[in-house]
Amino acid sequence: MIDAAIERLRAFARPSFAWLTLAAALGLTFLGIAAMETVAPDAARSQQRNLLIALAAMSVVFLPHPRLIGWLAYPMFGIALALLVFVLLPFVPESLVRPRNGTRGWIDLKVMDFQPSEMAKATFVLALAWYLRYRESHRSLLGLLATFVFMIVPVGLIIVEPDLGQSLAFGPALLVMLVAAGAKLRHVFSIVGLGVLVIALNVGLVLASSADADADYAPWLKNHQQRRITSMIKLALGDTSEVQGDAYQQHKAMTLAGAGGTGGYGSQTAAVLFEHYRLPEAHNDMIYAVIVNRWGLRGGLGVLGLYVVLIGSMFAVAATSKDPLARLSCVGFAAIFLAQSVINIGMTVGVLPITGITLPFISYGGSSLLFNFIMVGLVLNFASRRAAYMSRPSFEFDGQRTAGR
Amino acid sequence: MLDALRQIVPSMFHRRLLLLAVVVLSCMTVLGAKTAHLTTGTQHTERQQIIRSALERPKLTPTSRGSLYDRKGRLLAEDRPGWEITVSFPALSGHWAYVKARQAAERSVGRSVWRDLPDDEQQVLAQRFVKPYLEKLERLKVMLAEFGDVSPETIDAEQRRVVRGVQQMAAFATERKRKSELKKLKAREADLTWADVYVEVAEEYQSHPVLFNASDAMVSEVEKFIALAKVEDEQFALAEKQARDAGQPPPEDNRVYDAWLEVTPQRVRQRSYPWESQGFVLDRSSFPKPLRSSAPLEITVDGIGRHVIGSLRRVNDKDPQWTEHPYSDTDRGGYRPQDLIGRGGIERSMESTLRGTRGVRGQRVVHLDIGTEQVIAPIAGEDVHLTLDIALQMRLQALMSHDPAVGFMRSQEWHHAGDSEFAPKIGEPLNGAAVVLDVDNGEVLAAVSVPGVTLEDFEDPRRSVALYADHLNVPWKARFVGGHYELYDPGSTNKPLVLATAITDGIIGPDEEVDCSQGHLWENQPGRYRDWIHKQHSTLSFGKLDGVEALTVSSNVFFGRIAQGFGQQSSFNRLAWWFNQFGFGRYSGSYLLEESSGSLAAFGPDDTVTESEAAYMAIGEGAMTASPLQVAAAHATLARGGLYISPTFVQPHSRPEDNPQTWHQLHLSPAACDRALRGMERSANFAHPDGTRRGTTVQIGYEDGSSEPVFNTPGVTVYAKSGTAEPPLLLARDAEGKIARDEKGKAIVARSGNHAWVVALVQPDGEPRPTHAVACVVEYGGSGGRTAGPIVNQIIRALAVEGYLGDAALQAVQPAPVGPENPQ
Repeated sequence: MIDAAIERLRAFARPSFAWLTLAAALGLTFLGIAAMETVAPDAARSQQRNLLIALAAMSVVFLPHPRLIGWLAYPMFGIALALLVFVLLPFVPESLVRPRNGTRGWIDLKVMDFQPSEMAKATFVLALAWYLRYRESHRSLLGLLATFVFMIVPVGLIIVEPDLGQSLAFGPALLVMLVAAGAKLRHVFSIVGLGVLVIALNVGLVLASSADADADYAPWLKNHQQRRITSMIKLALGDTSEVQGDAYQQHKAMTLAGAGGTGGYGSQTAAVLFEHYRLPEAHNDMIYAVIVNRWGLRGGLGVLGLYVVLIGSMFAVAATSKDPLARLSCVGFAAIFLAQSVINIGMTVGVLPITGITLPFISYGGSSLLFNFIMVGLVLNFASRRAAYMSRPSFEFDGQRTAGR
Repeated sequence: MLDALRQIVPSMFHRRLLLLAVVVLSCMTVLGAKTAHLTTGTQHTERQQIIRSALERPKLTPTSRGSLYDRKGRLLAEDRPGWEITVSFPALSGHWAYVKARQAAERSVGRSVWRDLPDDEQQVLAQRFVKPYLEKLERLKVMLAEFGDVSPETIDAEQRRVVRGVQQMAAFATERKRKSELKKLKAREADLTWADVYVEVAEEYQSHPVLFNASDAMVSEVEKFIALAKVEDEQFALAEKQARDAGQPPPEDNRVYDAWLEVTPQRVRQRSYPWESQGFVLDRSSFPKPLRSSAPLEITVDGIGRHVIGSLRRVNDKDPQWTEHPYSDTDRGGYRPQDLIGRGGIERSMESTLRGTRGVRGQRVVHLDIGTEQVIAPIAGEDVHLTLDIALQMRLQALMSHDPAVGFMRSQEWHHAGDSEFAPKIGEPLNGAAVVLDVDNGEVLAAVSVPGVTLEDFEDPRRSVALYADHLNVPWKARFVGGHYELYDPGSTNKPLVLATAITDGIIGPDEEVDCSQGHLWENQPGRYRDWIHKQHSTLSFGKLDGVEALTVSSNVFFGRIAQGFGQQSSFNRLAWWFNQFGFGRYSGSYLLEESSGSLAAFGPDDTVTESEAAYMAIGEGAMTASPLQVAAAHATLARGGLYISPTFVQPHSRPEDNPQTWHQLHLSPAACDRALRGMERSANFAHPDGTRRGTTVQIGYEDGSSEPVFNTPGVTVYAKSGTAEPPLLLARDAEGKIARDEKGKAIVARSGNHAWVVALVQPDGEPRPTHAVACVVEYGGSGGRTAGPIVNQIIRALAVEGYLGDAALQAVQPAPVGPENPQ
């Protein structure tokens, strides 16, 4: 056992792109803790404890062989789904599942609050990667649509909680993994195009509803969702009529970020600013505004650069690996980070409507940090494995024809 | 191109990764560009400005409102530092007891058990602990009542008022939000409850006063209990911590004074009106015979000068000042909720002078670049010196009170109010007004409006409702300047003015006689425009009269002929122009915003004043209306030989430079002024043996055949002119102020009869000309000379008592003046 652990350490010591992944992840985490010091020192201290737990978990998942991880992918995904069902069960006592802001998304483990949806994201990627590893069925439209079952179940459960923000990472991760797994681009682009069309149609209907006081053309969207869309568009067009209403949080975030300028205000002034110009969820969903306010544009670009390094290095690990599970998992984890960071930063700078989603590694949150580092740990694990002798690279379909073509 | 890529990157998986990397870079580029857009250029500047203004939220320090003084330097209004004892809203609403009970319940079972309990069980458990805390609140109220020397019911009433008020505010805000949300939610979530949209208002977290005007001793007592509570609270917190550190259960809460932590004495500035209510002894020995008494009357006058001084109220969103500066933090002069603003009188008209400017203090002012603090001292409002003599004002208000023991403003048999069913019955209260002017400078020494108002009338909610519901008597109306309402026909008080203008214009010679033997003005209309003597006996007339005699007997026909003369020799418009020169039909600039301009026939080049209008204008009935202030100012102009000085309630040095007192010369001929004054002098003093040619304000005749002089002040000469003007019927009003109607829809008449006027000029012996002008009107009072004359006489005596008419008059009437500095 000890020998195995030492062997794993030796493997980790071999240079790989995963070092960059770990460095970027740690960089983002420390940046987040420093930003939290500005607006919520208690949260910063708590996040430091969370980081220790997360690093321990990362070390644990670094050890097992990818094959074992693959075998455990479905059961772990099943457990995650079971926990998602559990938090929704009406008879579960509030001492165990206490709703926050109307969302039943956390299990009180006494030492920390555990969020099953975070586990679901990581296990979803592993399960989908395990499913797709030797398949070609996704090269047909029907086979491709079958993979959506993996996404629909957790997303449906998370939306029922309701936690729309958490559910938004699954779709992009699925599409990115399908692209990487060799799905036909025209199929993927058709689905993406259809999605864009649906979004555009919804936005159009929401705007039409807001213009007509007596009509509701998008009844499938909740009212607060409709209002967030209209307020975001109003704010983007310079209409400040909603800044005390639905655009309140977004307007404040944009104002604080914009005021930071290129160099930022620095720690002390930023703390004074956030004390007087309060921003809801500053240490959590709105942490990017804190970073730009404190370190300015340089801080913002630094964060974006670290995400590019994080995601790029994960792609690089995938590229150097021949194991299909490792390849797709790395891409899937990168897609999760990409989706969350784009949505979170997008809503902070006013290009996307407000929704509750964390900025990976930076936002406050034990479960979020735990599973982010578990994903990093898995990437480190995959990167430290030598390719099997004579193994055939996976997801290479050049020159093949399939029935679905 | 794709083929080339395939050759460079033969692996499909790697090509797909490249594609995804491009997507990643694109997304990050867009986000980076948007971040750069926000943090540079105008976007950055604008957002930095927003942040800066959020930081530079100064803590404004209060200013003090300027004081008001009367013409003798007596304090009429001032801001005094005072104390209010405030209690937090949770304690007032009882919510504090329930919060404390929950904490006690949590301590009793332990935190972890408490957290696992469902809400309803938590509530049941907390209910067991609530009683002692409710008792603490009750004890607190009783002790506050003891300290404040008020009954516990008084504290209860304040508590109810606060709780009800705050709940109404929250309900209003919630309902507004509910309506707004419903509009957004549309039909499918229309079952939105109040709980879903409840809006908390800031007042729910604030302290509210329950004891006002607290003394320093009371505050000291309260602070002792607060200190006890703090010590007790610290000890309890320490015991709790020690128990927690030792892993023991929390100690029992045996605090006794913890409710006192909800009490805070607060420094406030209060507007104090030292002359609001004063008592003095009224000498009735010179009153008309039916009211005369040798027993002095101890009388308390409330609301002294209130119509002139005004009062304060909370600013509201209907005020122009509110809309000007609704929420600006940096505007130190701006108004914000709960600020006080003048309600009426000088407090309102001199608001900008009195108000002052707030200061800025504290650590709230932080500059992003230099991190310094800013302290700006408040600027106190400027003091304003009024022209009123508050002691004289008090005497006049006493004389014109509705107190039956005084009696002037109650209908008397000798008033001859008329036999109409709507004429005031004997003993019924009468309304009216009086003004005293200093002839030398136009300063108003006293101005009375009856019925009067007191501070309590405005500040006590029930009395305030009753005050504003009295649409018949309109007590809030400052009748001496019109008070935004219809003014009075000035009646025959116009005649001296008409005589002076006619002589000046050469319409009539100074001693020219006019034949008035017809008894009425127009040939074929014997029932219209008659002399009073002809009205009583159709065979009687005054015959030929010169101007002085016409004023003495108040001949209508004489002045009708003069009006006709204006038409023949000049134009009827000229007469209206003259009235305007005397100050009628325009605002005088007296510095009371309640002032009305009154009406006057238009006399511009394109206007035509008819003969009838001119004739009635000459005798003050129809075609014009005026306030007592305008009548007094016009006659003061006669006394000055034709110099009009705009009357003022504010001394010249207290008036803003851009709004000074004005004057203009009418260029009346000396003979004109002389004849007008001689006519007034004879009107007040001349009694012809045959009785028909005696002055109209010479004597009061009683029902028993006896009579006595109207004016009886030694040491002065009185020039007076009475007026008995027939006004429109006074119609009854409903609660909303609309005209009340009977079942047939006919307007219900409340009062009919004549307005009784007297205007007088008073010349102390030894003075070259009159020094004071007095005008008095009693609504529907009856005969001018009989009703208003005795009041003017007593006003002259009051002037004498206050030392305005010289030593001879003073010694002949009463001893020293009284007031807060010299109480009786």
